[in-house]
Amino acid sequence: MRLTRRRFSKILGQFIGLGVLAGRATLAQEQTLAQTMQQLFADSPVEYSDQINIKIPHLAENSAAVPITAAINLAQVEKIWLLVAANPLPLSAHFTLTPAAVPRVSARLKMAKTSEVMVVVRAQQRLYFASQMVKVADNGCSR
Amino acid sequence: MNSIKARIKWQQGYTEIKVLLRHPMANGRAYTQHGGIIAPEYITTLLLDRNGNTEIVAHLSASISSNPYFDFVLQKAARGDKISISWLDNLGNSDNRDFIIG
Repeated sequence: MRLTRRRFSKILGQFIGLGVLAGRATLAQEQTLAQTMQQLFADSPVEYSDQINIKIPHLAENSAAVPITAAINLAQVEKIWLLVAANPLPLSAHFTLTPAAVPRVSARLKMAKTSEVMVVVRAQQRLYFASQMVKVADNGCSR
Repeated sequence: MNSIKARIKWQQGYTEIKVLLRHPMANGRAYTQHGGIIAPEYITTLLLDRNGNTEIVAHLSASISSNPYFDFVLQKAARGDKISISWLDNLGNSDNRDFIIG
C-alpha cells in the first residue's frame, strides 16, 4: 500500500494515541475523597465529633512534611485514619491501636495542594471525624 | 542497616515513643532531572511491639513524608519493657530494631 499523506497522518495519530495511553498507565492511580471514603467505610455513617483534636498548621510552609497530631478524647479507639482530601490518593495513613496505646498519633504528611485534612476514628463500633483546612504555601506537587 | 531511630520517654502512667525512620517514601509521581519517573518506594506497614505484643499497627501510603516521623503514646508500659519497631516497604525491604524503656 502506498504511503499517502492521509495514511501517514493516520498512523502517526495511532502512535500518539498509544503514547498517551502508555503515559496514563505508568502514572499512579488517583482517587477522590468520596471514592476513598466509600472504599474504607462503605455506607457506614461517619459523624462529626468535637472530641477529635487535630493540631496542624493553618498554613503549611513545607508541603512535603506537614506535621499533624491527632488526639482523640473518646474511649476505646480502635482505628485512626489520616486523610488529605485533595491528594491524588487521599488516604495517608491508618493506625490500628490496642487498648494499651493512647489514642494520640503524630505524623508528617505530604500535601499536593491546599486541602481539607480529615481524621476519621473508629471507637465503640462507630465512626467519627473532624477536619481542618490547611493552606499550602509552596507547590508540593513535585515532591 | 540502621534506619530506625526512637526516643522513648517513660513517665508515670504513660510512655512517649518518638520514631524517626530513614526512608525515601517515593510516591511514584516525582520526576528525576532527566524526566524519568522515580519509582514508588514507600513503607506500607510499621509495627510497634511491646514485649512481643503488637500495640500499634500503622499502614502508610506514599503521602507520608520522606524520613517519616511518628509520635505514639503507650499506657501501662514499665521500665525495662522491650519496644520493637519494624517496618516493611512495598519493595519487600524491611528493618527492625529493639529498644529498652529506660
